[in-house]
Amino acid sequence: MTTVDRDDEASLVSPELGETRLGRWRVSTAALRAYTMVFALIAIWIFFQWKTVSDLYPYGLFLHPVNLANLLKQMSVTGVLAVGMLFVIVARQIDLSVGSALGLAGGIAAMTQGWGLVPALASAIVIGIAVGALQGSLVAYANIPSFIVTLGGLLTWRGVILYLSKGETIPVRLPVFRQLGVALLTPASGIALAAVAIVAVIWLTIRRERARRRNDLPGSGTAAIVARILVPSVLIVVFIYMMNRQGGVPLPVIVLLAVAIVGNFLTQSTTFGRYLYAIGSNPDAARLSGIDLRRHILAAFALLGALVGIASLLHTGRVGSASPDAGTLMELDAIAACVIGGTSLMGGRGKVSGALLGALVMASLDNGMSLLSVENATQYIIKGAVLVAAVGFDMAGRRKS
Amino acid sequence: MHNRYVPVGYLGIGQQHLVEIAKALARNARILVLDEPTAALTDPEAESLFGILRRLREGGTGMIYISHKLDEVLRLSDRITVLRDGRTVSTDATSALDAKRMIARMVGREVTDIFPTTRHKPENVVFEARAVTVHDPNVPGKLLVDNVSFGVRRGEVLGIAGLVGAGRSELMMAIFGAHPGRRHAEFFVAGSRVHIDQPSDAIAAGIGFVTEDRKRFGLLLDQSIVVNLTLAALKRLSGPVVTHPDAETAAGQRSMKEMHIKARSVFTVAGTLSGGNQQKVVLAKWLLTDPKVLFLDEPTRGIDVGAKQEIYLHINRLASEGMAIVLVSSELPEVLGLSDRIMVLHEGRITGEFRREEATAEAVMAAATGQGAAAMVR
Repeated sequence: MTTVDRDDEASLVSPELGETRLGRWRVSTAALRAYTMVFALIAIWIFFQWKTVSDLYPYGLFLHPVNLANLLKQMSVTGVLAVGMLFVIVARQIDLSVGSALGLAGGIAAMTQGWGLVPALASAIVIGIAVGALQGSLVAYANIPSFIVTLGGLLTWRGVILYLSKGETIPVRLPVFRQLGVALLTPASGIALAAVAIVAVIWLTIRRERARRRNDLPGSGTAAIVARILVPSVLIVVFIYMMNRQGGVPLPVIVLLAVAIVGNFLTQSTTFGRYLYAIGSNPDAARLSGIDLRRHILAAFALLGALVGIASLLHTGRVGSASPDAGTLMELDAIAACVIGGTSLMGGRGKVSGALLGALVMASLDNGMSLLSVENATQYIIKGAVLVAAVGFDMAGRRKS
Repeated sequence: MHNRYVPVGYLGIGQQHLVEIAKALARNARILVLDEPTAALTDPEAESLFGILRRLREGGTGMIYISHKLDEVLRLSDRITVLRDGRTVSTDATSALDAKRMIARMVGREVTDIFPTTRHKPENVVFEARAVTVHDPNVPGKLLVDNVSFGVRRGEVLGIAGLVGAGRSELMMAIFGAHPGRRHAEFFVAGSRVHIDQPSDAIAAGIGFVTEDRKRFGLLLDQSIVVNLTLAALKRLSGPVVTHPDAETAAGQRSMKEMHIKARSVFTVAGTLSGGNQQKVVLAKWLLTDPKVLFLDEPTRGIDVGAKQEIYLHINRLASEGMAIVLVSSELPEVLGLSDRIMVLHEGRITGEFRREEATAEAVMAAATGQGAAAMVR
């Protein structure tokens, strides 16, 4: 049996769960990779903060509450799309049509304003689900590769909205629709929200410890438990304080948080989510384990469609009108956000937290470069380079281990 | 004949083979290696291939002809080398050999004392497959499995022997609802008819399936051990909608301890384990579905002797606990050592069936090479 033992010993440096030596510290490689992205984000923020120092803003403009709120509003649309995209990419599929589908859903919502608020908002989400379900069924049941189906969708949905709108931009007339993209929570409800969030963090931590003990697993140390409660709580308080200083938490950010919580629950804590990872990881093995590949792939696309509908409302509300070219290139932002956040295009790997981090990186680059009045051309080049570099680092790290 | 611009994929398999051979000859090959060239050919196509090979031999081309069809080898060759377990057993002039002697060499004499000696007491039939026929999805008209029926009893180990390509894996895949070819069959679990159209039906009917190729069909190599272990039984172990990671982890740890899976923890990535431990993960995964019938397709392929022995002990334990086991293996000693009953397949058909007492390596190999009738008369 010694040979088996040696084999195992040699394979301990696994890409996912091995340890990396940093001086005299041994850190889980998976955690190291997650933190690398956080550090990169902090570096980006410090850089922009330093570059935006002026007489008017002696400590820099980038992290000023007003700008931070702007950044987060921009990020909300990409973030909602990225969470939806995660479901599809985890199942080893891709959706290139979300930008066009967003333009279509937003345009239809603007055109149906005459029917009243609820029908207008609902129509965007229904259109999103219909587009997703149609594309998903072509992928799952007609066996057409998702790259092709959604590349076709990218062209088709853009054509449909150009035809329906006759190329015209439709203003948002319903006040509540408009508010969806720009409203601020009152500072008092912001504080209430912080309180609820902190209570939730404490409750989840305690529940987890109890469950571990119930199942005879070793409990975490007191220091770890305190850190697990304290770190998120401090972040929540700082976030609410900053937002309240500029009038309150923007509503789109709340929508994004809600989407992220639901998305995280679906991926991490449901059989549906687990099956998507299994399908992306090894479709043959998943099928032989009794998983219905087609139904789950269809569901992933439909779910992304629903989120495209929600994102279209946030975007249309924020801009104040639905133009027929709304959402152009947003599919690439969403995919880039997932990939920067550690999602594998080969399927089976990726998390909502990573996708959000990726969306925040993309939005920070957009926002920061705009503040510095970097030319459009340069912005594209830098964003492209960052995407490729992020994946390159990831691959290099994996090869080494 | 087709015109020469037809893509090779549009040709029949037989003609594709001829294209391959022509390609080799076009490079003035003086030695031609043919690996199972008739596996996909019909009899007339094979005959025309033999004609071509004879002409080549007369023209001075040397040929290495690899086949498990003994009569072909005997008809075509001048000398025959027998390999077993990757080693040369013998090389003789064809005139000095006949099918019986070749079979004796293919079988060899293996130490069988690594097999546990428990006898099971088979009870009533748990699973029955009637008239299973499977069509080759790539070659129209070709049958991979031809009218195969069998039953397996509670507490019984049914061995399925046969050479590579005899249709054993296809039979298992087809019963499990996972073969791409068209299929006709009837299945009965504990006497009542069940419909199996996809793997989830088979799992619901109480069948577990440790597949031949664990990397391709068995494991999520980039996921943790626990995710692999609970995959097929997730809804039962963890709830229909919401999963309970801690309950899963606990179940995974119990399973790991029971099966002696060696890894740092249940969170270790499955792809980093040794072959033996990977195989134990796959086996444990199916045991967690609580199956009444367990299909094992080459369960010890590519794992070391120690792990093999462990798998044998598990098979015996499971049978004595009342599980019905169908064991497909190319290793004759394994089938002989573990099975209560042995069914032999050759080119998709049953060519022999033996009770444990009457099964000898020679008789099983004779049936597996299509020489069964002669062997049985003897």
